[in-house]
Amino acid sequence: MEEINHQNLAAAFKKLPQYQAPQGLWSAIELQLDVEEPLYQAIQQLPVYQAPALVWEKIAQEVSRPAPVRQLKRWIRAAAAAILLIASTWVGYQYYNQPIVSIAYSQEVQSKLVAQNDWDQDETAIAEVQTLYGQMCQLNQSKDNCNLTQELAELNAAKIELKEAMERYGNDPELVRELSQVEMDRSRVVRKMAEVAL
Amino acid sequence: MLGSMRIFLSLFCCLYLLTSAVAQTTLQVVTKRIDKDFPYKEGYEVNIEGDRAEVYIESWNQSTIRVHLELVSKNVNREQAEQDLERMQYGATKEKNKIYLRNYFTSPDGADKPESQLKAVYRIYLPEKCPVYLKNNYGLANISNLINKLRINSRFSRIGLENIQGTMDINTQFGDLFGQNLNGEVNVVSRRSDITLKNMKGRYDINAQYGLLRLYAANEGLLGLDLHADKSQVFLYNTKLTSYSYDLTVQNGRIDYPNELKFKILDQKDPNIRKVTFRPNKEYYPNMTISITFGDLTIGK
Repeated sequence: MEEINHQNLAAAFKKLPQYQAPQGLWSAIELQLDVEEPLYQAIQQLPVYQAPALVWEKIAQEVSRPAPVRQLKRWIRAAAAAILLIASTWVGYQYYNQPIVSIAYSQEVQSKLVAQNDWDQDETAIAEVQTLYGQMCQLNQSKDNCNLTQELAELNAAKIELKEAMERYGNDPELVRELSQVEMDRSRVVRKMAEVAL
Repeated sequence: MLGSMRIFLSLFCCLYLLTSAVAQTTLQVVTKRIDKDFPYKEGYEVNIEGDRAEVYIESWNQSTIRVHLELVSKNVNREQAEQDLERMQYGATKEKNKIYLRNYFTSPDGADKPESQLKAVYRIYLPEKCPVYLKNNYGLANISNLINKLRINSRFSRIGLENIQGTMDINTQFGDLFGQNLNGEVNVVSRRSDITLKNMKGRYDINAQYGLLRLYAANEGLLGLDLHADKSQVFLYNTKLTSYSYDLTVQNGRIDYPNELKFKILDQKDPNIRKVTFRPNKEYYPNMTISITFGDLTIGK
């Protein structure tokens, strides 16, 4: 292909920046060539051998022979097809059967009262009543009057369980309501204990 | 001057109290929704294990079990809500003839406590014949229109049942049970739970401790009631009082009943125990056997 704007091209080439090779580069190349010169001379002096004619004949025979084609048995091909079909169906089913997962964002207004964790304020007083009640039970040895200890223990355990649930799931109104119910039951038992012990 | 100052201060105090009372905060709600369908076949059962879960189940006329599960995280800070939502895990799988639905809280070693309010919400639609087993803590369940088998094991949860037939086994602790139009074999074991059952039909076996029980028999169809209650208050209402047979025992408590019920008072060796019976003047009648300790029984219309 002939260049039709040869002058423009030549002018552009002239405008290109020019760079000098780093100092010492050419002398390094010359030195390298001088070092390798004896090696080139040694290669020229190496002896040359011819391969025997029989070798080339053998190679020609091997190349001209057709490669054997391995025929798979029919049942193996059927099994392979079946496995492939089952596998692809299973993969497709798994893909189809995956749940659809989506994320949504919204806002909700909630009363700040929920955040007031005041349910442990009376624990000292409750523990005092429990101690007095226990002492009274020990002195009187009356089992009938001492079943409140067990009742309070059950409610205490329920309160602990609910507080643990609130640590996991937060102080939302439903859990606060459940805790309030337990606290009301505890209050009733503690009042009964106080009536008996004081 | 002093008077106007007082009025100003009073108004200021009122305004302060008012604003304090209605103090509200805006929460960012992040919801991960999982939708999944399971083809239904005869003999399948839905098995739900919820933790801090609201579970709504109702039947529909399609042979598919459809599950909408929402994992919800609420916090004033959206990033925190998203981060805490990752702690809520779920499972929705089918193994043999059971559909297992789960949600649970994970706490990796060394992880901070979550700061958000977390809960799961299940909405499940299934064929009315599909049996259901529900285990749930710290949540609620509303189930309606089933006709086969329902089992519930619940703690700190409210249970609402409506229009259920078949076999029901309900175990509740620290929760409330409200049932309406239940008809079948109903077994309830409760502790520290209040129970309200309306329009009761079928046969009931109730064992309750520390609860308030309000039982309303249907005009027709209540075949029997066997109730054992300990440290509980029981209110039993039915409009056809004399069409039932009664065997009532109350220990350390009272029995209140209308005059039209002419109870026969049995031998009263122990003054703390009251035993009364009543038999209607007909050949076949349903039985009500009620035994209460440390609680009162009130029978009314």
